[in-house]
Amino acid sequence: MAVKIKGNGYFEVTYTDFQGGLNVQEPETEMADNCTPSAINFQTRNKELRSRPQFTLRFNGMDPNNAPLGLFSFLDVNAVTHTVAWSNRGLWQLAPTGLPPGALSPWFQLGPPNMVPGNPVAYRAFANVLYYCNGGSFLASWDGISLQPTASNAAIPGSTSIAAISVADAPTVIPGPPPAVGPLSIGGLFLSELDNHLILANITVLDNGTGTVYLFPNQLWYSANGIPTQWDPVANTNAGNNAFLDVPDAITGLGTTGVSGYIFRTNGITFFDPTGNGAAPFQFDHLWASDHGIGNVFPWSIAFYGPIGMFISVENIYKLGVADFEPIGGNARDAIMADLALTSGNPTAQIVPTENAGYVYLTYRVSIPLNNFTRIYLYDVEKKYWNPPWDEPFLLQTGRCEEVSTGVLAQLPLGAQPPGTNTAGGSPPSGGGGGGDGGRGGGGGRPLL
Amino acid sequence: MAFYSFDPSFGFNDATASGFYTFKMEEIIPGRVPTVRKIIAVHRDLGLATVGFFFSGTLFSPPSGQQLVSNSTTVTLGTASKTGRLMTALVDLELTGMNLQLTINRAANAGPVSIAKIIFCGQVEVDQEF
Repeated sequence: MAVKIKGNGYFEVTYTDFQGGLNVQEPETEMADNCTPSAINFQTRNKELRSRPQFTLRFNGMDPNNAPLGLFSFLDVNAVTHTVAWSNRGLWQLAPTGLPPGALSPWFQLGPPNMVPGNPVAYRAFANVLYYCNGGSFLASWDGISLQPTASNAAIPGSTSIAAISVADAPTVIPGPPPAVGPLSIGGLFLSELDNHLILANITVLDNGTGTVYLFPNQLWYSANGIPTQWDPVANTNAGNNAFLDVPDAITGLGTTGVSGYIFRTNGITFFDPTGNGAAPFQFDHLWASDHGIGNVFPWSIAFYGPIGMFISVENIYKLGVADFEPIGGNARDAIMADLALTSGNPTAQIVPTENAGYVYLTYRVSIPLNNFTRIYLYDVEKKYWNPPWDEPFLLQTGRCEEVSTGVLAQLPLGAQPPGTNTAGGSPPSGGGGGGDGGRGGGGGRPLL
Repeated sequence: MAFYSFDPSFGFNDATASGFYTFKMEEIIPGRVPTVRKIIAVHRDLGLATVGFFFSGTLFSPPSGQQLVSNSTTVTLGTASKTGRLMTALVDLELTGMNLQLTINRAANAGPVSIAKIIFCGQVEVDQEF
């Protein structure tokens, strides 16, 4: 109890710990002493109640008119780390040591295909090549070495996606009626990987022969094992698709952990894992395929971090892991759900391990755009409570939070890298952001942070 | 259109966003009307910070009904040298009312705040029995 009363009526009320977090589901007089019924822009840090870290401009965007749709770092085959971002004008690379010639920002445009405006990008590095999509009829890639991304399949003339089907096989893959003419270009809203298969979900297919666009919102399509350019099940039975005709809803995300994966639908979840059988490489099991049930209703709320994943269903927020499946909305659920109901854009989420190098803050962050600001709810994965939300005025977040390298690209001979990455006198990549502030604390060397 | 981060290496004094934290509501003894007089704030010195302490409560005054009461004050915590040390501030703030509730406020660019413990003290009638 926080209240201590002496016989003469003197009382003291003590608050410590603060790790009960946000609590909007109990009367203010009945909640635990370490909870808050209402708070903004504070965080708990080692049982201290602290104003949240400063919100800091890192880099200008690619241009003044088009919002970034994602951000990622990957390692190319030359062991060079590239930090890239997307807008609806395509793929861009960060040139952190200065502006590329003629540029207004540190971003160098690598090129199209243009992305679907407004959709956060799904990305995956596979065999040192970056693959990405965001709901259009293409899967594109960039190897970090070529001057521009690739959005065609060299083996399939006329294709406009790495995931493509030849003219000869198109009528077999989409028999119609009328049968597809081909070549077919396959894209998706979501991208993942399991057992060396690239996996697209919530599929869009463009028949380049007729211009017809087919939408398969409950379909999954996977490449052949270890061959991310082979998506044709007629040419290679290890590639294929699953139409999930037995479920009533659309795929709203993908996640993989260990040797298994989860396909999220609006009202359900499907578990899948490798079979070892080349002709049917995956086994799919619906955890439930009912008309109504726990699923993921915000497509970019799914986040995985090693053995755990998080997502938002219509009635709660869930954590799933190797050994558990549990609702985590807790006493903050109603506040989060109320804000999600008012969202003015795409809510996005991510599991973020650190605020900066040396400042561990493992949280699942749900960012909700709300007309003229974004509210961010943070779930402490280790201590299992919801921090007070953070509001950032005049910010509308348009892509997932990511931890990326902001260091200088590793040195290679000039000319061996794309123009935007030529950084004479560069140094090896550093971790994201500046260094910590450890060791300045008083008495005992406690980090000031 | 830009890329931002929440970055502790730049400190905990956000220049554009204010914040507040409301604590649990306290009855002290249900039905009594306590008076709070002082707040003891144990905080870590991350630098100078201007912090508002706001107490609210209610009074039951029939036949007119309920009444909201409040009082607030602003104090400066910490030092310019950012010692990182735990420090204690004594804040005089008096309010008489039921359902006492403390809120701390930090305006935008008001400095970094890190509270380790909050204690508020006062007096309440203990002999009366309903």
